[in-house]
Amino acid sequence: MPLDSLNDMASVIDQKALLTRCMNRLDFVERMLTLFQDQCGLEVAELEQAFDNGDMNSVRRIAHRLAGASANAAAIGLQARAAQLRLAADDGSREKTSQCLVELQREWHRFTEARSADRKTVTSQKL
Amino acid sequence: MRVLVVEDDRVSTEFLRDSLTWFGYDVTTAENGRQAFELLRSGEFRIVVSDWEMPEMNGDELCRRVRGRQWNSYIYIVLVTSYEGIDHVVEGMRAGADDYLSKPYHPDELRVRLRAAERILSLESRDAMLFTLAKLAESRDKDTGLHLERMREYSRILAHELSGWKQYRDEIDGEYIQLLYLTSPLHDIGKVGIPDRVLLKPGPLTPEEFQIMKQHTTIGGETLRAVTQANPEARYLAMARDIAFTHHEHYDGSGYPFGLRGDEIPLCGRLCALPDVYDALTSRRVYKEKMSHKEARKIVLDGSGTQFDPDIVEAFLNKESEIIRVARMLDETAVAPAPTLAVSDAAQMPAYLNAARSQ
Repeated sequence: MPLDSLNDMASVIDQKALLTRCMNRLDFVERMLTLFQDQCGLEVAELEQAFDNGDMNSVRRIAHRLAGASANAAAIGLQARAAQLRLAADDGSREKTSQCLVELQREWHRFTEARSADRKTVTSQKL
Repeated sequence: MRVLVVEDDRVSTEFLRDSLTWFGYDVTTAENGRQAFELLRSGEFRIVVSDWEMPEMNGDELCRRVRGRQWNSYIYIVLVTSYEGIDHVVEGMRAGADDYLSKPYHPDELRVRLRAAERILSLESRDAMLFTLAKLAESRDKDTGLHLERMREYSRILAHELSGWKQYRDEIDGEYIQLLYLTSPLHDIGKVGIPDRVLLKPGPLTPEEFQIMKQHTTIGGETLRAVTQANPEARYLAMARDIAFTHHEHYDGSGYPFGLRGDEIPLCGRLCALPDVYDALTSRRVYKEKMSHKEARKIVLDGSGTQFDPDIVEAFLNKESEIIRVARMLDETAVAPAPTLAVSDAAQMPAYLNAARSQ
């Protein structure tokens, strides 16, 4: 993964923090971002399902796990949204939880868009 | 060194696995506390890095389960979580965690914390080595059985009792008791320098032989003094030196080798003097039968203020039932003897005792 391509994700990832956490190994950065994206996609879907089922305990638990994973991946926006969602689910307010879930989905969308742009950059650089 | 990572989140697991492998650790992963607990039973892991919130069993519950069970070796647990605030740190440490990391953590922070874990675990090896050394020194005399094991237990019991007394609270804390438990078995280490004809004589010693025997206090004390001078920061060596020198001093000044009296005798020496005598009285030797607790108790009480520190005699009386229990548990001459401890089992003593206590 070229260092420049990480710049495309600057709006959703704290690049410096992620590089530090990956001990400046770009191959590790790429592997972690891919893993994070796969895992996060599954968890956002799980969150939606749990919310639809009215299972606030699961919402809280998944949001907490997502906050931890996002923190490790330096996905600061997602980390903040997931933490808010966990607090809302903790309070038991369905309306507030719903709002937080929408914000999380929006942030997740931003993340995947940035990731697509990043991948296009990598592909064009390779060509 | 092997590290067990306990995480239900794949991303966090990979971060931990990769970083730790990069630092040279051999990493195994578990998805929850229950799975981790099963893996820990193998005895292959000394360090655990665990997430807090997981399905089936949380990290704090894992800590409680690990601490509630006696293992052959200490298991060092670092809890990792994205929770914020001091309450969780306190709760985690109360549950039995040794250290705490917040997500996201810096890899260097992870590395230094695990290095600290390794240093602390290495102290356990030090403790086992010290006891092994004491057992080795005593191995020439086949007649003493589990004397060292009983003596360190008696010393610990007495020190623990005194730690609750106002006048001792500043001097005897948890660390002091731990050091006393660790170093009291070295009291007779100087006997390595006593010739066989005196040490192993199966009968009363002549006055000349007794003079030679008395030298074990100075041989042990001087040896430990030299080591202490080379390592002045090591409190356990200073305590071991004081015990070796002074465990035969008498409260009224009639003991040896220096004839110290009262508070001139270091507290650790006074705390070892009574257990040493009590255990000699209540143990069988080739030249004598063992005394009953009642008979030994009378001798201890008669020695209050002359041979023994009166406070320590009082502590002995307050903890009499506990002392009798340890004596029975570690009585190798009993009809149904307690399991014999091999030297290699030294580090397991607390586990063995706790298991016996709970029966």
